[in-house]
Amino acid sequence: MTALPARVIARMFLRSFAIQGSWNYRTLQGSGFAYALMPVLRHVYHGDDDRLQDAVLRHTSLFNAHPYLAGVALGAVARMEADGEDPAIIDRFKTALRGSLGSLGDRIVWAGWRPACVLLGVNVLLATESAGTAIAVFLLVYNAGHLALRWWGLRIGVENGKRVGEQLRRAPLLAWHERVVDAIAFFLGFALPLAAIGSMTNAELGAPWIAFPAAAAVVGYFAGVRSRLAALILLVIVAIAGLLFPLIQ
Amino acid sequence: MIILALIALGGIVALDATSFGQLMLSRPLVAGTLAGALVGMPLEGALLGALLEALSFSILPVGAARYPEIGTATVAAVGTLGLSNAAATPSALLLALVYGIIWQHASGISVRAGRYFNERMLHLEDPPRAHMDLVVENRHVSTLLLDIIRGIAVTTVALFIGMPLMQLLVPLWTLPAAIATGVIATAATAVMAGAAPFFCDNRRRRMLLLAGVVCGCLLLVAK
Repeated sequence: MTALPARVIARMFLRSFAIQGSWNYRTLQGSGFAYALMPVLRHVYHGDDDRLQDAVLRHTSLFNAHPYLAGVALGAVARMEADGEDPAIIDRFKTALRGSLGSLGDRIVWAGWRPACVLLGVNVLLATESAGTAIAVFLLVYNAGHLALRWWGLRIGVENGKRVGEQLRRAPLLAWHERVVDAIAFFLGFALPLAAIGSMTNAELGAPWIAFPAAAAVVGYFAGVRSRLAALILLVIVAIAGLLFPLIQ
Repeated sequence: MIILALIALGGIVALDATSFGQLMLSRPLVAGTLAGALVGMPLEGALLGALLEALSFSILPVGAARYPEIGTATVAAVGTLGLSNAAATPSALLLALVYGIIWQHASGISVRAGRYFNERMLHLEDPPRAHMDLVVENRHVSTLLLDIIRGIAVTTVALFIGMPLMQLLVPLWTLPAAIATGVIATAATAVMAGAAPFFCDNRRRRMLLLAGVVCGCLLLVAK
């Protein structure tokens, strides 16, 4: 068993920001995983080049997880390598963990934290008309959660090794996610009237024109995500119509 | 100088989107504001970014699925509008918005091509086993640099196509500004409302949505 010094963990944490750098359709994050884990492998296999190269080769194989939660796997694998765990068990552990880290991260970040923070930023922009305030609020709030999640994931991984699954199950991530989705519902409702009066164009629609976005809100609600394609087609058609209008006249 | 700064911003935004950091500098709200600040119109840049944000609100990236690249497209749309010296009227915003929408799909193609390129680069040949660690590191860093170059290239092409296009088309758009404002508001509202059923999946959340609508209306009345 080898101790993992704080500087080695810090390097792995910094490299984890680049875990998707070589994302590809064959090994997905595989090469990035090996890149992020390299400080640990060099520390653990210091002076044994054969085992170091074996370990690097093993960790370039297929891997994928949500990038913010990949630290859970990185930390746990770092602990297992340092504890001298059997490579076959480490490979099985990575395979078992990658699916759940992907789906959990997609749910709590891409379908939770990010839309909540985006809506907060858009609402601040439309309410205050201050672009600087809007992006400062968005970036600070979003990245406070983002960086905390990355660091927490790596820490529980390093501390718990192959038992990290129990810690993940105990963590209140999904309970927090429910509160975040509540916030999304409120922020989304708040943004709708601001968008409907044309605030996003720095102009305001007159009373009769507001009927169109108001009706679009109702239709959009019932059409669901299909409304996006219809909206994009509408924008393109009107843009072209505006250009052709002088010719028709 | 401004155009070089916009191109550099395009490279940073492309890198942030997937390859490094994901600090959300690549979100249209942020990329639009930064590009807008560079061309002297931060509020208009932020609004165009907010529009692209609203129109992509129902896109939720999951797993390894393929999506348009919205960050560099936002820099291109805002940069094109600013550099063309067109006034940021609703009609100019509409044309820049449509340009951004089209460009995000073109940029998405470059992302996919980049991923195939990464695959070929990572598996060029079996590296000598003795230096596997160094080869993995070097190839990984090279793919990061290539992603910056891809972002720079995509932004450069977008700006050089978009600038003359915008200078040509904005004066030709002669419909009343209310039509441009109306269609933008209609599209943005429809897409955002379309995302509501996904998030408001129970009665309590539908009530929160309604409470938000009431608060938004109260703010408008107060203004």
